[in-house]
Amino acid sequence: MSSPGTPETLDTADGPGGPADFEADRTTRPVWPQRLVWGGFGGLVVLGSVLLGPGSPREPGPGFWPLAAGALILVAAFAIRPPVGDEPSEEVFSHNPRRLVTALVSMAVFTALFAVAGLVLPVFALQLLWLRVLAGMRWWTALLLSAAVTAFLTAGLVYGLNIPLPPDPIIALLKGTS
Amino acid sequence: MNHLDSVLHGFQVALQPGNLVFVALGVLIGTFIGVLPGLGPTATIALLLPLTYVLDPAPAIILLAGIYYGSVYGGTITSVLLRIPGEASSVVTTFDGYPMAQKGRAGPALGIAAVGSFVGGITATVFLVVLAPLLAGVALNFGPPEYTLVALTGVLLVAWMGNVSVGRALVAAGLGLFLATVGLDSVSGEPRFTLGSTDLLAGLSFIPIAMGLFGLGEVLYSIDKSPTGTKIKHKIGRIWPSRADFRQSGGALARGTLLGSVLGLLPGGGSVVSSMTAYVVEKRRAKDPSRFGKGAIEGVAGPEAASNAGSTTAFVPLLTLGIPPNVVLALLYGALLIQGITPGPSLMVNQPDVFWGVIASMFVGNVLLLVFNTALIGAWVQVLRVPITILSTVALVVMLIGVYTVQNRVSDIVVMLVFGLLGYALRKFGYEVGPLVLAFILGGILEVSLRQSLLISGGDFSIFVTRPVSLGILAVVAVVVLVAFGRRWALSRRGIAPAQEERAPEDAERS
Repeated sequence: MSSPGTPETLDTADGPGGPADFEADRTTRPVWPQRLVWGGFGGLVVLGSVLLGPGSPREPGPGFWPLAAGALILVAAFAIRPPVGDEPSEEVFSHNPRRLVTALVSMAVFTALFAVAGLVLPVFALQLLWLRVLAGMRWWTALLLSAAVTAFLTAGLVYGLNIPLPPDPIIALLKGTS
Repeated sequence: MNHLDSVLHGFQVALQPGNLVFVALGVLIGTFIGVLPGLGPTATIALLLPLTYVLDPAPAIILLAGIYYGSVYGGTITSVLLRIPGEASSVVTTFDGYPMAQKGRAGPALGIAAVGSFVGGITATVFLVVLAPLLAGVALNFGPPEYTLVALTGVLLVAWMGNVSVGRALVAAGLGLFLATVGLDSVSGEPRFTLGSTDLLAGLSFIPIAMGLFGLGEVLYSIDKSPTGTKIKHKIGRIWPSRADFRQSGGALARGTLLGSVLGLLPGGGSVVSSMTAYVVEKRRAKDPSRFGKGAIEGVAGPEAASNAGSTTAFVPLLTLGIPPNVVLALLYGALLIQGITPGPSLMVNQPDVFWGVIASMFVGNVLLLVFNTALIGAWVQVLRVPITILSTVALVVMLIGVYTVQNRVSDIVVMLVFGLLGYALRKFGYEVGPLVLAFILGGILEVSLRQSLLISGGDFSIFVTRPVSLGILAVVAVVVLVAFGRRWALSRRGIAPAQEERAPEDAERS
């Protein structure tokens, strides 16, 4: 805690997300693919709305409002321009695609496992993978933190809030209902 | 219940021990999140939405509101110490807060920011107490045409006043409006864009979309960054500003509070627009504008007061009209819907505990913020040492399980993953997801009120300009748009881009 008159001195430099970091991320992409994608999407929504039946202003049909949304996307697509001034710039899609793919695949596997194996094992495995591989923690620290978070979540959700979860063999073992 | 009784009733609710804990927890979590330049208030509120499902309405909204205004201050700490705004409204604080830190005056910069937030927050809460019932009274006369106009204005102004170009913002808003139409048509009962899936007949749920776009999108964004913690090189020193500091910044505090209180009421307003405007006003009024960008304390005090005032009065349109004026409050709107409460003019009468309890909790929360942010500054600095990837990992698991617990559906996790990837991609391509989420929330209101308006008028669009209240709304919108266009025109004649004018003076001089 810092009270008045107590200097708080730490050491060095700018952190992640600092100005240099942002500069390195910037990239410039041609605008026409985005116009094409959004324009095409807007066109599909318009087409879908027409098929649904837009009706008339006197009697709006189910496609009336989606038609407006699709038209907005279609028109706005052609107003897309490259960022200027202080507008958020476009960024490189990923500095390290392996990290991104690891993250996405691990979440997909988690979702599949969660449905069949419940809470404990999938949460523990996902935490461990992320803390060790993506956060770069040491094995022991990652193991301990993963175990702590899993225990906290299990206690809170199962025993504290009584939330119904998919069948979990470990929780069943703990409750003696297996 | 008369007005004073209502306010006292609100304090009875807010001062219940359980609710006091939620206020304190809200401002602590908010400040914590604001300090970390990773997860913002929107992501945090999105992350905690499922939690509100198991709480009563009043504590749930008190907690989320505390996170909102707590985060507005928390972002200041990194703005001053690292020149990294913890969230959007703190960008302006970097202009003079960081130079103050470079001159060894980080303490007074943080101190005046805390005082400014307190003054702005408390004054704006008084505004809220006075204005909300008045506006709720007016809103009782609103019919479908008025709601159509207010909701449409909200979507368009948020798209227009955002950080990205209008084209990109409108594409995002259009996508939000479209997603809101997925499911059964409320009038004809016909399925729309469900692709044959029975899961989609009930429409897309707000929580997985919000958690995906904001929470998961942010987590994916952060793991693409360096996993290291942050180190600070400036001394903080004495926190409480000197008498001279107070004398110098007194006017800025008052002006910032007033500006923020007014701008927060507008759709698209809130803390970001308020803080930017307050900075420009202070710079223009200064006898020596060259001090700005070099550590002028008014450049911290005014925007901080405006930012907190704006974030507080932004609750007025949400609580009285049922129209969220910005993205964070759109999430709060979603939280109210989860609780089975529809925000709007009748909220004050039907849910006095929520309406007045939340308002009273803001008084308590602002006092707690002042205490926490002057006494605990050292602890907040330590928080910066936690690598964002560790926090993201814990947040990820909370989100994955949290989104499931709302309706006990694994498919909600899948929807969240899809929208998480979409949120990440949109950000990498220079889009904002704010207009998308706001349009998704307002899309339902817009469609129903537009169709009702057209049915009432027999398909005649002049209904939107012939009713006095709707005409009044259009007049207000026209004035706002004209003022903004006039400002752009004036700046372009002077050869200055609007965004450039709001940057630190030395930057503007350089360019």
